[in-house]
Amino acid sequence: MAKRTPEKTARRPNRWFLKLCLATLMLVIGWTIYLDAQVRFKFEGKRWSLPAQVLARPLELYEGQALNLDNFEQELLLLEYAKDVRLARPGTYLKSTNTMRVFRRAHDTVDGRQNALLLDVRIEGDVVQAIRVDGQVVQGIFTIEPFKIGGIYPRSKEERQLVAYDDVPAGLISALLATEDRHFFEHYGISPTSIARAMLANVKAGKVVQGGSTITQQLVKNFYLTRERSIARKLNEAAMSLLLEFHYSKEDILETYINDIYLGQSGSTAIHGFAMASRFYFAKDLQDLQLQELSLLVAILKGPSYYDPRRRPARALERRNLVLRLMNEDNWITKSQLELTQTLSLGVTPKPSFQSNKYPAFIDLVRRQLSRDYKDEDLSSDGLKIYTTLDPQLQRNLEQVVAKEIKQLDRVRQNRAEPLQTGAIVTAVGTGEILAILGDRDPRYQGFNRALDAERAVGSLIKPAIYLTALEQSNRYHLPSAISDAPFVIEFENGERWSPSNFDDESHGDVALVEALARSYNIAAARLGLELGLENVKDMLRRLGVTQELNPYPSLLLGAQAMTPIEVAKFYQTIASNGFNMPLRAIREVADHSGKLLSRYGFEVKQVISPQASYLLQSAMQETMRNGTGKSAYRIMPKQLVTAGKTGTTNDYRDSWFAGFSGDYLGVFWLGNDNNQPTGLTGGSGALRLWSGFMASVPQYPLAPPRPSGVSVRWFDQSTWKETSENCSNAQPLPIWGDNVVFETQSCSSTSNTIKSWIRSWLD
Amino acid sequence: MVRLDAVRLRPSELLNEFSFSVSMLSRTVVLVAVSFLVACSAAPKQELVAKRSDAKAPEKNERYETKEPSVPNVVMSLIEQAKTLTSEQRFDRAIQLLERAQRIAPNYSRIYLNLGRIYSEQGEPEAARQMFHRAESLAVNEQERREARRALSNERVLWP
Repeated sequence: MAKRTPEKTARRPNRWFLKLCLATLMLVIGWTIYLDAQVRFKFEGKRWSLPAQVLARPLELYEGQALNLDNFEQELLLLEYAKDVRLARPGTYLKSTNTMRVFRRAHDTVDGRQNALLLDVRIEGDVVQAIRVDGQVVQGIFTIEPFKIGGIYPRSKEERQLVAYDDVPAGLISALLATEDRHFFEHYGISPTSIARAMLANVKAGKVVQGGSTITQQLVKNFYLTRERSIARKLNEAAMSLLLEFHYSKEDILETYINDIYLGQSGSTAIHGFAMASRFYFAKDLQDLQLQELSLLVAILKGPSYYDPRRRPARALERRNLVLRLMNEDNWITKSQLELTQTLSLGVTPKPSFQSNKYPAFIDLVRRQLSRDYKDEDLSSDGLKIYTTLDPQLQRNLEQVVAKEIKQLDRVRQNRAEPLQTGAIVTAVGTGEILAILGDRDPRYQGFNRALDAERAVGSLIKPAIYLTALEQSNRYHLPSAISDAPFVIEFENGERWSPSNFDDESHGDVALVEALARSYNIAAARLGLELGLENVKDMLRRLGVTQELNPYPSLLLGAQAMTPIEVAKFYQTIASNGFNMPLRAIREVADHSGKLLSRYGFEVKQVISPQASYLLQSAMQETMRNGTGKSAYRIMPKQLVTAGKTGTTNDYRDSWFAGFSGDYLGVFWLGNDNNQPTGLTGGSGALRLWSGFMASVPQYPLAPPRPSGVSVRWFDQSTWKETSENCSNAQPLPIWGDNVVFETQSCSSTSNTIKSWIRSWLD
Repeated sequence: MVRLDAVRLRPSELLNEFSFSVSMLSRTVVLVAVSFLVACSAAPKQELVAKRSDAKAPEKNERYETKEPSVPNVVMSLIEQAKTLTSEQRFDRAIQLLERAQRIAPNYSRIYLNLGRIYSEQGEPEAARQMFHRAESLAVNEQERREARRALSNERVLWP
């Protein structure tokens, strides 16, 4: 025992040491397993939170397309195409009197990859006459890449565009290797020689002047770790770098680095990755950058704010040239290449060509429509591509017209303190696609979206629903039918009285139905509505697409019903499309980040009104534009452009509305004050100006609905609304539904009228 | 080389020649007459109003005239492609192409007729019926109207 004791005591420290070693080893193994899991989890999962990209409709070019040359040029400028007589590279164009030559960029669409292509588009009379490729006329549809109108962001805003390793220009890789990590393709994640060299340099200088981090380490630091500086973090970084290199290829690591690196700031949005930085600084695709541009991007990654080429051009230039010299030292570029590129300027665009949200009202609409099918988190992190219906040409015209008209209205209304506000929406009549939208007089304002949320009394905009209810009863009502505009009073049970009056405070006795709508007589509309029954009018509004709760009082007939512009647009869309309900859509397709289609929002339609009644109502609304409250629109619009529409004004001029359509577009405009104070504007003196200004700015087809079976055209005297002969001077045609309808007739007022009419027709 | 004056015809051959010429002539006359009638009965084409247009408003008697929509050639080729895809049962892609055509020529009746046929094949009778109704409402001539009505009545038989 005594002999064994010293032995025991001699062995004990060893055993303890062994145990300690074992425990440490276990700990290291455990920690390594943990780090390994971390490394693999993030690298194999979703590497970044990618905001959904919201894209405008791509411009489609084809023979016979309605396209204005100036509007086309504006869209190219929006897409940052540059005017270039040589058309040297994709992203350039050249405009002449009636031709646009455009070197379109390669891009992806839902139909697949579209290559870069030089297109020769001849446009005459706002119609594409021919498209030539390599001098040959080619039939088909050629798309121009869609404008990226914004993103749907998480709280921390990061803007990033991914690029695959194979698409990275060789010049960028050599610049990165020369500057950041010469032995990247040889080391295992860490480079002891680099660390030793950096330590020596730092000791010599007495401060940190050089980092020994490899590209892998830099990636690990940015990707997995915090910015904290400690030995433990350094050890973790080294371990994770080794693990990363153990699991993944050099190319995979470099690709991730290229997409991850922080390279600039635009307001509250951080610019990440070289592809995004290329757009941000040069307004070009990464693949189109020249050597001096690629080396500038590599230069600024050390400190994007310190070397900001826009604010600190001298510093950025000096560092760019350093990158070029390093490239030359490592034989990536020749001496003469170095000398040439060093003399070149930085070439950055004066302003960041990146706007995180150019069309906030539209993005708001898209977000709401998507929220029915997608979770908020997926929208802001999955890199979805949202193909929308926004037409940048129409949106631009809308913004310009509204800005100009509101400025003029402001000038006229000098004494009023409250600034006018507006909400507007433009849709495609035939498809229900929402093409342009304004939520505020300032199109960049990101707050209250009046097009979607401003609930305002609609005034006379409601009247078409009353007249349509009547016109459906073809045995009782026709366009020339007489209805009464004589004053009346309704007394309610509580003793209150309701007695509507006309805008001019006069009553007009018996008037033709078509005239009552065109001139927007209140008494006639209210009488007719009551005659038809309030419930029937409400039912009509619901059929037309109004989903909200409706006011149960007769005042509903004169528009004491608040609606948002988009709700009005739904209701008028049904009228404009001959009685077919179609959902208003802002989204066509949603694809994942790789381009795989996830959902499609197709065209749906439902007939809710007979084509005959719809046709008659549209005819009466055309009369509004020809001779009624909408007539002044033709001071601005071409007379050939047949349209139909309705003005709306509410009590004390608080709201000025106009809703109207051509064969192609429906526009709903509201003007008013946010605090509901009077504006002094009627529908005709306010919103109609905005609408007609917009309509005049776009080439389009006039309204010409096919006349349905059972509807014939007959002639009526314009003042007595009795049936007359086509040759009479005061005669005007009206569509009549039904074969055997009998009207009171009248011969031409006098022979002289016939002669006058004959002479006039001869002179015309 | 054949000299024309060297060709001599016998009386019976001459008669044959004559009757052949008469039949050719009458055929030509009928053809011209038919094309004239077709041309007269076809609805006039819609015209685009350009941004800077100074033309006059339509004449009174033209106000309620049915006009043919403008249908660019690409629409026809999209419809043809969609028909092929439909026969290959690739309905989603066919619908996608037809909706592309619809954005270009939203008032062209035939697009809706084809959309309706696809929905019908896919077993969606209500969607099909609505498309046929749309096609009928946009028809600008008797033929388009007849096609839409026939499709509607077939749909009723197939999907009561």
